[in-house]
Amino acid sequence: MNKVRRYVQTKHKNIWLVLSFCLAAIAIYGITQVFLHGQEASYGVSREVPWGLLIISYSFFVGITLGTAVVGALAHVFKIEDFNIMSKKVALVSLASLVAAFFVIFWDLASPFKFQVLRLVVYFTEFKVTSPIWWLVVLYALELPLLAFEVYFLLSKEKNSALFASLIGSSVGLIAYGVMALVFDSNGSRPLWHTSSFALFFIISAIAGGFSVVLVMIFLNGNTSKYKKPIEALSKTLFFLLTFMFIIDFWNIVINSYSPDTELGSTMRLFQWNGVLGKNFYIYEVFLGIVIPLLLIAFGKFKNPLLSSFAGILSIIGIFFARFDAVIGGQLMSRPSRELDFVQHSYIASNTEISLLIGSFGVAAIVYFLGAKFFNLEEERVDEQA
Amino acid sequence: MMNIVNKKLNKNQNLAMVIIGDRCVNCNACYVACKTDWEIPAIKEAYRTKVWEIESEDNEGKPTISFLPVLCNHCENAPCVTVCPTGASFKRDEDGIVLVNPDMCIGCKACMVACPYDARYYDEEKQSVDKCTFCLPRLSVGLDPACVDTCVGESRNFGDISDPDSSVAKLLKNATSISRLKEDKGTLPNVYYITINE
Repeated sequence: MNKVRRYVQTKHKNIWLVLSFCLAAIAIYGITQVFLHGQEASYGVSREVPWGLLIISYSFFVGITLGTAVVGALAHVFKIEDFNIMSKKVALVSLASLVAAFFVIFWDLASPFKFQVLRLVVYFTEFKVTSPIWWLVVLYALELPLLAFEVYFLLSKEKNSALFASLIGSSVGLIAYGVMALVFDSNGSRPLWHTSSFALFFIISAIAGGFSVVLVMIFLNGNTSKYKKPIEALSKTLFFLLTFMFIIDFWNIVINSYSPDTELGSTMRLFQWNGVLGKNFYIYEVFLGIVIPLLLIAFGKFKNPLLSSFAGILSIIGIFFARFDAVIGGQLMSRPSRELDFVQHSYIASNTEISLLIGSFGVAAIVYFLGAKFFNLEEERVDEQA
Repeated sequence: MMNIVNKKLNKNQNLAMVIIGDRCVNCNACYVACKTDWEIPAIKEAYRTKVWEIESEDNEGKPTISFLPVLCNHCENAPCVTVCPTGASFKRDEDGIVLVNPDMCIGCKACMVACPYDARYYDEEKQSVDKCTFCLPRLSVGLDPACVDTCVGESRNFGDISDPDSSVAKLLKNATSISRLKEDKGTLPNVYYITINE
């Protein structure tokens, strides 16, 4: 593994960038489908399930942005030195993830073909304070330059400015992600979303995603023996966050299953083992995404970089499934009237949506590797403390 | 496409649909009239109004079937208006009609997800969400909504319920039962379902 890593790092510095472009190029299939057939014909969404894989991907990417920004903020603002590791690269990942989120949501909105600039002007002159999506756009429009400033200040070694940008950026990111959860949570028509624990799970799991990403980055970066203390601190925090997620998931299932509310009760049937989301939930979200990572971290006594980073990869996959289960689960059961039986709708992500999702990972990777190359971050392997 | 957004009616109206439930025979003339009048895309999930079939059993255990015409409820507390980030979905002060301005719609579909009645669909051609307008362009030239005009059983009735002399106000006054869909959601719908003694 180390040999391969060293070979790639020395002989083929650009291979990651080339692979990133290849990954992003997969989105061309989806984009072509949208241009040829339109969004509705190309996506798996429907009248009953209007939000699909692209919204899920957006909520996932902005979650990674928040999580990595929080790791950076804990290092800069609270001076937790164990988290002050590869801070430039972590900030760059945060920025790259946000760009990927913008890319994927662009293809979900109806108006990639409309005049976006004019729309943006109109958008910010109409203050729709009751709309969570309005706040979401405003806050993430603020977040992008803040993250860019943070990266810039870290690179120019302006520590105080970097601290300030990190503090403001992570605060805006935290509020923005809360609003992201509110987009679902405020919806009284969808009982699965309309619970107080929904936003809590969204935010906690996003932060867990950030810690997972940093653990994986440390492992891929090499020289893990240098980072014993940070790996232990990150692993312990991830362990705590995953435990918290497990508790929320467990009690959500138990409490909601007792719900006398028939709409919520019918939705919870989706999450039974034989329900359409049952295997997604129990296998991928809970077992693979929470239980196995907890066991791996514990088995490695919080110190094993391989086990902790593998736990990180699994928890990232689990968090993606958690977003899928939450977003799709909230839409699958409906009835327009009390007199009607519940109708269970279906949602299967189309190849177009999947290609755009894969492409958005490529976009994030391009931003990261171009940034790393441009700012020469790959060379900073000896002492990367900010 | 007619520009419906700026059409004005008389002020201070409370326009509502009053549906006499047991008069609907599920002929679907309303569905067809609506689709043809407003050039709704010819796909199954694109509709502004439709009729649901409800199968149940009566007190003696015999199977019965009844019909439930549905459309946008033009709610007083319209969640679709609250969540819209651009103001594309809005409620007119003068008559309470909830409309979508297609030029302002960014297709985020938050309104579709927020609507408890599944009353909206996405129109790819318009690149906008679309829904029932109570046939505002017809109202502005003195016509009833297309679904009301075409209803063979006079199940659908339309008018200003704040005017005591209107046919809909009289129907509500003489109804033996009045209900609205999902009243627990707090949306205060403007579509009423009634039964009357005949």
